[in-house]
Amino acid sequence: MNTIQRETIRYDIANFSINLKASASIHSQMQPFCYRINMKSEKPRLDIEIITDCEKDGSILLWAKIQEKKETFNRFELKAYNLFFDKEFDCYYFVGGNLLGKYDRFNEKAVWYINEEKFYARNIFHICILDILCLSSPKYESAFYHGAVVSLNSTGFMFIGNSGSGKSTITQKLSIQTPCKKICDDVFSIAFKDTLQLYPINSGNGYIKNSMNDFLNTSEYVKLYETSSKIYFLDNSPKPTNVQPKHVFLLDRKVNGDLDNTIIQEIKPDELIKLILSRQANVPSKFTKERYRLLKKFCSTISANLVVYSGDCNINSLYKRMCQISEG
Amino acid sequence: MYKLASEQEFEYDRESAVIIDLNNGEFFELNEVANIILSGLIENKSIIEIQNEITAEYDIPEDTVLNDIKSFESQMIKKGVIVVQS
Repeated sequence: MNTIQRETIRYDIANFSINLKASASIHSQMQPFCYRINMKSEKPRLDIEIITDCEKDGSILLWAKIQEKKETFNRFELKAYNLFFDKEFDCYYFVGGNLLGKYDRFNEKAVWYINEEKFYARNIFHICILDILCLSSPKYESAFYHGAVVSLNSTGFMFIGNSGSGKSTITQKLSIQTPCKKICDDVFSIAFKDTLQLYPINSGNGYIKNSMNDFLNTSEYVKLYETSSKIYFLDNSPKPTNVQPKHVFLLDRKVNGDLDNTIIQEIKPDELIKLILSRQANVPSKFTKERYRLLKKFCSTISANLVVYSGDCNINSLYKRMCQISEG
Repeated sequence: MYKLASEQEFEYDRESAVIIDLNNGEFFELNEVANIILSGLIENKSIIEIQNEITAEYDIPEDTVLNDIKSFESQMIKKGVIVVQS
């Protein structure tokens, strides 16, 4: 039986707000923005349509429309580098695995055609919300980055690295073994005002599973999806932090190398831009230049280290460095 | 006489030596020499001027520099980063 649910979530980010509205028509159990969809038996095809619009007060309206079609499903993997531009139709296309997406940059309309055996909440969250926010937010002097954040004495330390570089693990260990507090481990937003303001985007974060029981027992969070090592969940009431972003650790995890050998190197601001660019999905939009400008601003305001390691990152070395920075 | 292709297509940040292809989000990282060459081409410096600038700073044979400039120039044209100024 199909059900239709609607939900609006308001994210207050810097001096603007974003209304996220979902309108979904799906086959089985679904909570708003919780794409726990059991499609194993039916194997339908979903068409996800996201439309962004700017309201009179300047807020961005996004809504996702999910429609079911009977098609064969296969796994997919979304890769930003599979995006290409079709000059004839003035559209961007995603092609990755069995996914085909179309993004119309001028009408800010995106349609993804996804064939998948098992639906991953985080993927959908990223596709439906974060990709669009990443594309649109720079015009409001705000930018989203794929990375984790911990705080120490209200100083924000950001960890940026490719998937599998250890962002979740390191932030988790820091929060257990040191006085650091984990803020988020997947996505954060920076608002560029007189000072940088950091906003954790908690929806869809992947947290190391065993540590999350306390969080998930509260009504503020809704469990989205569970893998063998992570739980993805939604924060129902996103709030800004008073953490002052100050330092970036760029993680470079070597597959082969000496174990327990963690090297922390200084990075110059111009090098930092390139290193961050190479670790973020650079999806083009009409705001790409704006996003780059904000990245430059970001890099000129913060300090950074490159952390090269193999095996387990040396948490003590990292924490020692963080204390030095935090104490100024 | 070259100019950077349309601002709608490429963003060139000479300070950070980065070119961003706005059509596909790809970015090219330029090394110091490449940055000198591209800046020179856009500023309408002659190849000899660019060559002198590089040889004054780096201990590289003039012939090598000249070949590198020409090779880089054609790469930039081929990629569509620079176009001949009309």
